[in-house]
Amino acid sequence: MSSGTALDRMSAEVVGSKGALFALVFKTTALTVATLGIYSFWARTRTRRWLWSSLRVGGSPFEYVGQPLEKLMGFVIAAVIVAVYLGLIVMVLIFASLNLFGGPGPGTAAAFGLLLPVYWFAQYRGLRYLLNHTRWRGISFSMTPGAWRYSGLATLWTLLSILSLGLLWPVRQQQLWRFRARNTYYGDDHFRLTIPARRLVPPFLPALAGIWGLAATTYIVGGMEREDYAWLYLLFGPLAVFGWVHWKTVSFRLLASSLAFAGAAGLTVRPATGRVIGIHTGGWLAVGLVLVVALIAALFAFGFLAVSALPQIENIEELDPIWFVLGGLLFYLTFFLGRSALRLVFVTYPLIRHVGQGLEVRGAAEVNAVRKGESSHMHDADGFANLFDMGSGI
Amino acid sequence: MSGPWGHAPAPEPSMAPDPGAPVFADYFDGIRALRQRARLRAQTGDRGRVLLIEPPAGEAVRWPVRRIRLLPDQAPGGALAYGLVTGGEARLVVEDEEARDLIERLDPATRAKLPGPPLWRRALMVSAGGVAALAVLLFLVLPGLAGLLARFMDVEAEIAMGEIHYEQTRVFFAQGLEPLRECGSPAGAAALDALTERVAQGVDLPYDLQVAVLDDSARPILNAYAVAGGRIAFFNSMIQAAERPEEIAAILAHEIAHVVNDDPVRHTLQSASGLAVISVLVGDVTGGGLLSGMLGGAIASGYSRDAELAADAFAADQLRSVGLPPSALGEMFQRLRDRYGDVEGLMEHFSTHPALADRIRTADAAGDPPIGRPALTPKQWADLRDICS
Repeated sequence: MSSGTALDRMSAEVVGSKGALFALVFKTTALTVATLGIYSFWARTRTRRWLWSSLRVGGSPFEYVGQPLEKLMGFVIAAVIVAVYLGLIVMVLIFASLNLFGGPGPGTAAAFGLLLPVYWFAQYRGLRYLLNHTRWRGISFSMTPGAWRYSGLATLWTLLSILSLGLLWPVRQQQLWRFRARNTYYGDDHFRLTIPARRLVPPFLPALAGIWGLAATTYIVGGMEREDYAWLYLLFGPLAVFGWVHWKTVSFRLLASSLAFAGAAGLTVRPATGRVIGIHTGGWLAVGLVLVVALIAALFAFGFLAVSALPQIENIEELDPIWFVLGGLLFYLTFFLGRSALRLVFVTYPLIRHVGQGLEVRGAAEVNAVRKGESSHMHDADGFANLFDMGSGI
Repeated sequence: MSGPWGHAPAPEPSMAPDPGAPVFADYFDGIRALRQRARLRAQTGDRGRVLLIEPPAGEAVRWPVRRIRLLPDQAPGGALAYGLVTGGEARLVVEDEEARDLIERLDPATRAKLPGPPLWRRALMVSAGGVAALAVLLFLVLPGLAGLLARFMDVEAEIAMGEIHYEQTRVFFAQGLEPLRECGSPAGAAALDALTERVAQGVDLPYDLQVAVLDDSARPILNAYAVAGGRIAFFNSMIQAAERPEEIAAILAHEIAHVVNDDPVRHTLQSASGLAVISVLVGDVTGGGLLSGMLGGAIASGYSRDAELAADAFAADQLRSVGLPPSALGEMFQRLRDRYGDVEGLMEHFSTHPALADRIRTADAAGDPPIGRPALTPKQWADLRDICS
């Protein structure tokens, strides 16, 4: 269908460097810590702007137009709604659980189970906000409303996947992608997912075998108390992990590459499982290393400070406890925010670069014909997604 | 520099770039996704200097120079994108150095960042409204609902829950893994029963009160508490700290008040839901955990601070009706304060008991009835003090 001429193809590149991104997230994370988290809305916006602008398709950069204050308001709105929902539901369920089971456990579990549909709702709204605020060539992407339908679809397919012992998981992925693709617009035209679900089953089999193997081993070792079979963990554990990364990578490649736009336009991506595993391993090692070095430096700095300030602080017990709470809070924020900031630099950005380098868009002529479409304002912005910390940092 | 238009053909070989050579950039009009390779030129029009953008086809566009801004936070190494402060979705993506120079030379302000829309006022209003709504939820709605539900709690379930909580507290307050020992010398237990019967006179409960003394000699805790289902526990150190049985009677009345007010059940419901709410809210910034636990603790103790004051009031009434002096509570608190000091400042907020000074004042103001017979005979009092030996 697609004309294969080189002129009709647009290749992608990811510019920028880890160093430049690190400089940005270092600054924004420091400000977030210093403002006890309030700057996080600005930090998120700024890193998104940077990442979006680093991706260029056909020489034209993407643009992120979300606003920090919009996110702040969205977060507040989502927080109030989820707090009311969760507060009331938890209370009623725990009351029921105390009366029926004599303990709060089942009620708490049920309450968090009931949070799952809200999680998928949040996932869709978050994606919708991102697309509504992503522009390329001066034209905005957008997504039509449908978060509750999406949440229902996800709930249904999750239940079916569980009932089928995982066999239907690839179908679930295809169904969710198809729903999202159909609702996604670039300008005045929308996307379609063309891949049939059955093609996603083979790449899932290694992961499925690994997970079934782990479950069976746990039953044999734990349930039947045959500890001499514990070595099976060494077989199925790595299989499950490798299988899962393989599934994530290949399914992403197949699903994204089957996206079609307008008449004959579409895209191709070529992520490789080995490379994805390499990026994750190397990336997390780098994150750990930087955190350890930072911790040692902080301890030295603290020690120096303590020694030089000790004569002034005669009695540590007389110090207002607010200082201890504040100190603990700062340390806590630094550690967690630092970790997600470093992850962005050493894992997420390299992954984007890996995918971006193999990205190719067909149908330049059709892209040229796209006109501005409708994109609506969302009062809750990506507040719900933010609440569940999806994509932490992006 | 890599584009097909990267280098304009120079008419003559020369070291300096020709100032007259045409410069180009990608122009997007914000209406079509069409990329237009447009020629850029500086021009002085009627309303000041403009950047003249001439696409290969169609009409030329004029951007007022002082309105041109750089998009913020762009990744380095790529082209630079410009927009207009007046809003609008048109963009100019500049790759070539000559074109960038041209724009920057026009006005240094073009290097400034494109500002966002003014949202401060609305954001402040929404935030204030959100904080108010959350406060209403946490401090009014959830406590109210907990009080309502606690009234409908099944008696059997409450007794079972109290049993579990009681066993948990015995482990929680212990030094090692062994739960705290329940003291029960026969004479001491009899004295405790007599005291309970006296203090709880006329109190109507769906279950029996079960009062126990726990041996905390390994690490004195100096407290007493009530859990669901009418279970009350004294730490032995508390009994040793009292100088006369009326003081223990006053504390017992206070704990009975918690039982009568359904405080343990209410507290369980309230702190579970409050904690769930806070862990979701805080989960965003930090990944949850420690911080939400701390905030949850602050709120949970906030609930029972109100409950403590109500329990003090109930205890005073109850003591007066059975002919015992409520002032004993004040005396005991005064002595505790002399020995351990008041809890003040931040820690006061985390403590489950209102500042002692306030309670002493309240207890003294309650006034004593004509004193009837003492709470326990000297013999019984001695037995109770020996309950753990």
